[in-house]
Amino acid sequence: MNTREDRESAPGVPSPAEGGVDAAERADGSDGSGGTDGLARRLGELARSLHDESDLDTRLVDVVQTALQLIPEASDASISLVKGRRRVEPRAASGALPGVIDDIQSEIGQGPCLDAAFRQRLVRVADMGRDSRWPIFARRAWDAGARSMLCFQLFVEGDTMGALNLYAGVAGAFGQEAEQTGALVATHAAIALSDAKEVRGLNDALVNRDLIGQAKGILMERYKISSHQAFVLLSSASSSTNTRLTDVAASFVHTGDLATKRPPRG
Amino acid sequence: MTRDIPADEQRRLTAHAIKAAGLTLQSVWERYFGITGNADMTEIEAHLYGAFPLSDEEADILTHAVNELINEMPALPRAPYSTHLTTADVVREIGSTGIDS
Repeated sequence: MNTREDRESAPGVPSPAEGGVDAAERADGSDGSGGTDGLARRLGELARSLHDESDLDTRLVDVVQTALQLIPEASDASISLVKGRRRVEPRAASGALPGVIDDIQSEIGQGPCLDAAFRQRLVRVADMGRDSRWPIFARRAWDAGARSMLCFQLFVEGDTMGALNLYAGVAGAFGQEAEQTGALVATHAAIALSDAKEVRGLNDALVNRDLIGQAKGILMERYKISSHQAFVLLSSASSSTNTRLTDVAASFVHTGDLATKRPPRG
Repeated sequence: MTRDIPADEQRRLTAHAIKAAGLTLQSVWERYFGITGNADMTEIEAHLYGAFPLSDEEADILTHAVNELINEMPALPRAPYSTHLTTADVVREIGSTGIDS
């Protein structure tokens, strides 16, 4: 990967300090501690609101808005969900740009989000016009108006991942402080989102258990078989039709028929 | 029900499948629990190491959970051929009936 230093020292690339952040806040430059009071307060507020809010989309909007407030260099922000290692879906986008960028990445299967997805915790694009890692993406993203980007990995679970993306309309917009603040927001968001996913996953699991339990009960009663035999029936129906066990059980409880063969193909 | 393969063989191959597919214990347990598995995650882990025998029914529920997760993994990209001819097309083209389509 090209180094950020190369780009930022290149002539003609605006210095990150031209962003618009209070100079005092980045005076010591090392850890951004000059502005930590405000930062800590905002992150605390974010954590509380993520904790209190049960709706996932509202939480994602909170994360994106907090990132925009704390990182004034960013003109747009969004969260991308990457599914099946290729499809990139924008969530809670602050404007139209993130959707356009995600569509480009979905279409050509390359880009910073996809790299943040499965390889790196942080992907920087200091200057979209001079990026050689994803040439096709970079050209189209530049044309769409994304001149620099930061992508933070939020979570990876199976073949689904989430990333927090920051966009700026000028090259070299994001300095070290923006990266550090972004990483803090991403960490807070990742924790809040994993809580939400766990709770939702368990709710789903309980509903499914109940449904499959009913299906097993009906089969046991109907055929006078054991719980294990009932499970094997459902399981083989699921395998032979390539349908999830939950869906097999739901359709069986609903219709009383156990689909055991895939319908013949024409 | 009678077993077609020994319990230990089922356990070993299930553990191998989980490892080969790169599934996490957490994701396996969640699916297993969702399809009426009753053992907790520690018991599943111990079972896979051969240290905790599950009943045949629980072992089959675990097997099914693992296979569903494997089925849901994105397929690897495949290489395209130069044409889209099927066996039936070829049979028709060469005028032979000796090959089942």
